[in-house]
Order: sequence, then structure tokens, then C-alpha cells
Amino acid sequence: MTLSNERNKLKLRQVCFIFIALTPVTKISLLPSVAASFLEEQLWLGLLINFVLDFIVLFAILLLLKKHDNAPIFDVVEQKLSPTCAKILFFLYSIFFFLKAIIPLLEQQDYVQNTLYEVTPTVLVFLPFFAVSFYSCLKELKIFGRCVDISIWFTLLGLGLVLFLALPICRIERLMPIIQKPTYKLIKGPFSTIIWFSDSVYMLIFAGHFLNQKQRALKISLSYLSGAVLIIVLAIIFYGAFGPIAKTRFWAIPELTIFSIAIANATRFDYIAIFLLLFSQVFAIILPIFSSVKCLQLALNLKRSIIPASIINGLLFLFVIVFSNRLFKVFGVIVNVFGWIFICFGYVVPILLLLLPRGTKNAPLKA
Amino acid sequence: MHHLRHKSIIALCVILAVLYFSSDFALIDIEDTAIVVAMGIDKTQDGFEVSAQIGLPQATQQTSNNNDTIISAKGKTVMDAVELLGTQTGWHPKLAFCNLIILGKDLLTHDITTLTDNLLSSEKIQNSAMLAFSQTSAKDVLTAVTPLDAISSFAIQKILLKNDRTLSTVADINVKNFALLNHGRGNWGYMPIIRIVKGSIEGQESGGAGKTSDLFDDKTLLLAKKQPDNRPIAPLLSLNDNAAASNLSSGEGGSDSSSGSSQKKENVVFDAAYTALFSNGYLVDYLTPEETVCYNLLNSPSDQILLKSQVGDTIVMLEVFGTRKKIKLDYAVKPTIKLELKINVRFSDSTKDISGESLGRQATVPREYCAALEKELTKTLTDMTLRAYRKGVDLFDVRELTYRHYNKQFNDLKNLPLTSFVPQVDIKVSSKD
Repeated sequence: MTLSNERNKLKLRQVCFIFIALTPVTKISLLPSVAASFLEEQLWLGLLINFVLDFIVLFAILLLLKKHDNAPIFDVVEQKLSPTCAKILFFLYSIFFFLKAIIPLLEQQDYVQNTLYEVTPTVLVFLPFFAVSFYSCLKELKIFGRCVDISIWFTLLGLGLVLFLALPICRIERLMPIIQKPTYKLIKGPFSTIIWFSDSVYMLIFAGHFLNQKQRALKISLSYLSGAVLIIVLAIIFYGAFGPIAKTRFWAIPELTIFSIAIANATRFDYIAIFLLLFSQVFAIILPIFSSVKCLQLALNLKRSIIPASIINGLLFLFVIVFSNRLFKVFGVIVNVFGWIFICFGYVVPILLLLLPRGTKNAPLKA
Repeated sequence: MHHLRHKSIIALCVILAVLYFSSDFALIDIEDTAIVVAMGIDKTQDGFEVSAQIGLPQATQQTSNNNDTIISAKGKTVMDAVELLGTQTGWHPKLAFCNLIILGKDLLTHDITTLTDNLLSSEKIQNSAMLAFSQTSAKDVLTAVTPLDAISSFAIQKILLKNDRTLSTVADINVKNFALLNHGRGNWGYMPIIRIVKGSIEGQESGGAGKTSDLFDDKTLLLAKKQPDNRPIAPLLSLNDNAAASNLSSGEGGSDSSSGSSQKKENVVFDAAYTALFSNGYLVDYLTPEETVCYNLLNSPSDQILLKSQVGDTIVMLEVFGTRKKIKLDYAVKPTIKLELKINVRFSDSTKDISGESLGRQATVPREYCAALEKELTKTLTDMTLRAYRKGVDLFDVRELTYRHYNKQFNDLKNLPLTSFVPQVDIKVSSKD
């Protein structure tokens, strides 16, 4: 069973753009502050560890795709192990992506309320997001290809403007010393920020649904690397600007831009960057929801995705209603209680899938 | 079926539009909003008084009275007072455009850490808002009438908010940077002191520009004492130096032609050349204009400011057009803070005709003028550093530098008293590029 036909496949360019335009923008709001609260000056090192781990998983998945000729992973597991195993695995991945969507979703809601509104609005104003999300989940993966062709410019322009405005207030010496005691922080920090990572796992969803073009692995790896560099540079500038109070500055982007002399003399034109990034963030948050829906669809062996889309979006909708403005409590629960799920399905399982034998059990696999 | 789909899409669009616009984006009508451009905070007996200066639109033929732009309220905390501003006036105070926060002189005896922390954590106030300490009450400063601008806070902002590269005469600071220093390992901070240099708020006689005796009146001089939480604060804050009429560029907000005479309200002019120093949240000392320039030379980009050099009777003004600075710590023999500063200068002006060869922008400034300036700056830097360390002010961030460069030994070194640090100043002034 596949999620899309040949016509609906993503182009390799669009897969690369997803790793430059969408996955980085989920890491620009709360993550720098949370990383600073655990790692202080070494926040960039913690993020680097997260990205290196992700990169290893990405490399493993790219090997997996090469090994199985870019076949959909569900089909691979179904044929190499059993259909039941594939369904269970993808059901668990549906839960993983559901959990992965929660924090960025609540974060986005809080961010919009605090940044764009003078007084806290009713939670209802955020609900149209679910209309967009629900609609996207009914479509094929190609919808992200089309969106990302536009949002790549939004992301690059937005981040470019933010970095340009923020650079003058960055004091790089605030990141010293580079290595400090205690080093256990370098384990605790990356673990605590793990929910923003494991983006390589999206390749399990993309597998078999993008065109197999030349230098696939190199292009995807470089795209992932570009996104990682952008985020690490942003984190460095963030800590360079705020130093020891960085952990109290929750929304990195609007906090970074307001100190520019140009903003003081002109007006808050940094909101252009904020809106550009918000546009990309909408699709970036929908991506794990979409992945959860598609995994559930495969696990339940459904032809259409309306039922899993209703279930997942409905649950998240309720979640937002109930846990609105309780972002940090939810964050604590997800990291402390469900952190192992992120390690297991974000890192361990994708690498273990490499152990599946090449070749076929019943018939050759085709993308 | 196709028809039904179209209807569904239209219905969805209508529902989305209703959801989006039902709360009108939770906006408050502009007619009900007071856009606060500056805020003054004064300490009262049982709380704070907040005075908010509102930006009022002006017709081209009409200027509003500065006093008309001020609304104030008293509360237990600053935010309590801000809330009361809204309930008492019926206007919703919008603080997102508040670029200046003035702390009144009554906060002299108060730990301002909590206050600045609250400003920092408030989502209503921008962290880029500039902080300044007032010689008088903050409300008086905001209600003062100045010829420089119809709204007094705009006149003050003109002094404080200059281009980065020409800022060296005022030690400007915003909420974020103050919190960074105050919560840093040195627990110190600074902010410019807003001073009335000409005229007076109440229309009293004025001493004219440059008198420092009115920086704080005698009754507000603080005697050294211990606070209940054992924080050492505020040795004698006496301001009896006569150097305020600085020959260095003083950061004055402007000038007026009627100084020294019986003043009217229109004659108030502000100055921010003095700098208040804080330790553990308490005001403990201040920097004179010369010291402020010296501090800025080592801590911020410093171009296009004028420095005075005197040899005999001849005074020469030298324009700075480039600095290289380095602040280092050395624990090898004795804890030493090394302040290295290389300044490129060129002639700007002089009291006496200098040989034609020396004039002109590319000419070499004679060595004796450079040497005189080096000597003066070295003395000023050494004296102010030693005095600051005696007052517990971690000027030049020795604790932070220790943490960064001696991290392994930080736990052993962090408790060294500041007075054990010896400043070693190395200043080179030249006119070579």
C-alpha cells in the first residue's frame, strides 16, 4: 500500500526544501530559551549533539532507502517481517508523531497569542489552524511539496531579516567558556530538547513517495545540514544577545529583533519577518500531524484518510482547548514521561530497520 | 457533488472568517488606547507612582502642553499602578511603544533589582526600553517643559538614543542590558542620570549649565548602611566635584540662550553625562562625564567624540576616529585587570594656533598632546576603577571575565574581594591610522 501515486510524488528538491524551510522553523521560538536553561553557554553544543544524532539517523534511513530501492518503509516491513508487524510499527509511529506535534502546536498557540495580540484572545481564534491541518491531512504528500516551494522563500527571508537585525547585539564572548563543568549537562540538555528533533524520521514517511533523482543522499544531507547550521547560528546569536537571562526570554525571534537601532528609529518592521516565519511554521506544525495521520491510515489499512485525519486533528483540537496556556506543564510531562518514546522511535527503530535484509520475501519491492 | 463541494468550501470560509473576526483580533479601539511613549517610576511610602507620558497626535499649527500628556497612578507595585492607570482614566495603556523608563530619585534607597526584573519579565514592556535615573522625581522630569520638544521624553531620548558610534558621551542602557549586568556574576549595573542643567521644573532660579551640586540635593545624600538582608549599600553619595562643565563632550540635550537668569518652564534642558553605578541593586556611586567617556571608550564603539588634551596653556580638542580595546585578567602574581586602549585621533580644534603642519585631518598630532591625553585618561581610568571596586561595583566585569577565562578555578577565585584587583592601564594615543 502506498500513500501516493507516481504523479503525486515529491520532487527531490521539495524534500530538500522541507529540511531547510519547514523543520528548522519549529526550533526558533521556544527551543533556544529551553536549551539555554539547561546548557547556558553551551547551548549550541547541546543543539549540535541533537543535530549530529539526527544526522546519524538520517544517514541510516538514506542507507535503508538505498538498500530497498526507495521503497515505502511500510511495504518493506510488511514484506520482510509481517503485515501485522508493519501495522503495529506504524501505529506506534502514529503515536510518536502525535506526541511530536503537541509541543510545537501549543508553542505556536502561545507564541501567536503573546506576540500578535495586545490582550489574550479566546482560544477559538486558533481553531482555523485545524481546518487547514485537517484539509492538508486529507491530501497527499505532494501538498507539502507545493507549500514548501513557496515557504522556502518565506523562511529564508524571515530568518535572514532576523539574523541581520539581531547580529549587532550579539556578544560572542558571552558563549565562553566553550567547555565547562559539569559535562552531564551535555546529556541532560540534548535529552530535554529532544522533542524538537528527530526530524530525520520524516524520511520514513517520504520513502517511496519522492522521485529518485541523482545524488539524492548528498542533496538531502546538505539540506539537513543547512537547516542545522541556521538554527545553531540563531542559538549562538540568541545567547550572545541575552547571556545569563536567555532562559527567561521565551520567544526568541521577537526578543532578538527589537534592539535594532533601525527598529527604534523606524517602526516594528521586524513583524514582516515574524509573519513570514509564521507562514512557514503553519506547515511545519502540520507536518508531524500529517505524518501521524498517514501512519494511522496505514496501520488501520484505510483507503481514505478522513477517519484518521478526524481522529488525530480532533484529539489535538481537544488538547489545545484543555491545555491552552499550560505549555510548560505539558512540556515537562512529555519530556519526562514520554522522552523514551522519542529516543526509541526517533533514533533506535530507524537504525534497527537497517537490519532488515535486502531482497524480497515474496515479490520485489517497488517504489 | 461538485456543487456540494463548492458550497462546503464557501461555508467553511464563512466559518473561518467569523472565527477570525469575531473577537476583532482582540484589538482594543485606538480611541480607547493610550500609547505610552515614556514611563516614570517614583517610590511612594507604600508602593510606586507610575507616570505615563502619552503620545498625542498634534495638529501642525498647535502643540500640546507637555503636562496634558501625563497620566499617573499609585499602586503597590509598578504593574498595579499601570493597571490603575487604565481603570482610573478609562484608557488602555499600551506600553509596547514605551522607549524610556525613568526611575525617580526616591528609588535611591531602594533595591531596584525586583523592579527591573519585573520590567524585564513583563510582556507589556519592551526590553529595549532605555533606563535612566533621575536627579529629581521621575514625574517632574516627564512634566518638565523643554524647548527641545513638545514632549519632554522625546527630548530626553534625543540625548540617549544616538547612533551607536557616537554614543560615547552617555552610558546608555536598556532594560535587557541592565538585567544582564545585574544578574551577571558581578551583580552590578549602571544607568545614565537625567539631570536638569538649565532652568528648573518649578521655575526656580537656576545655576546654569554644568553645576553638579544639584545632581542630588544634600538631603538625599545617602549614608553608608546595611540593609536587613546584609547587602552593603550606598556609601556617601556626595557630588562635590566641579568638573561637570566638562570640556569633554557632555551629552547635553541642547542649549538655551537664557541660562543663569530667572527661569521659566520653557528653559528646562536635560543632560545625561553622569552615570549612576549600582551594586546588588543599590545605587552606590556615580561616574563623572570624563569617567563616563573613559568607560565608554573601553566598552562601546567610540568614534567622532572629542577628547581634550592640554599642554601648558594650549588646549587641543582631538577627535577620535578609531579605537582598539582589550580587557584582560591576570592572576599570575596579583589579581590584575589590564585595560588596554589604543586610540587614533586627529585635530579638531585648539585654543591656540598650532603649526600649519599639524593642522588638517591627515596631519600627525604632536606627541606631547598625545602623551598628555594618555596621562589624563590613565589617571581617570585608574582612579574610577579603584573607586568603583571600593564601592563593590564590578566595573569591567572581572567576575564574568574570571568565569570565562579561568573557569576551572572560578569557584576559588569568585570570592576574591574586588578591592584585591589592581587596575593596570595601558593607553596609547596616536594620530596614525
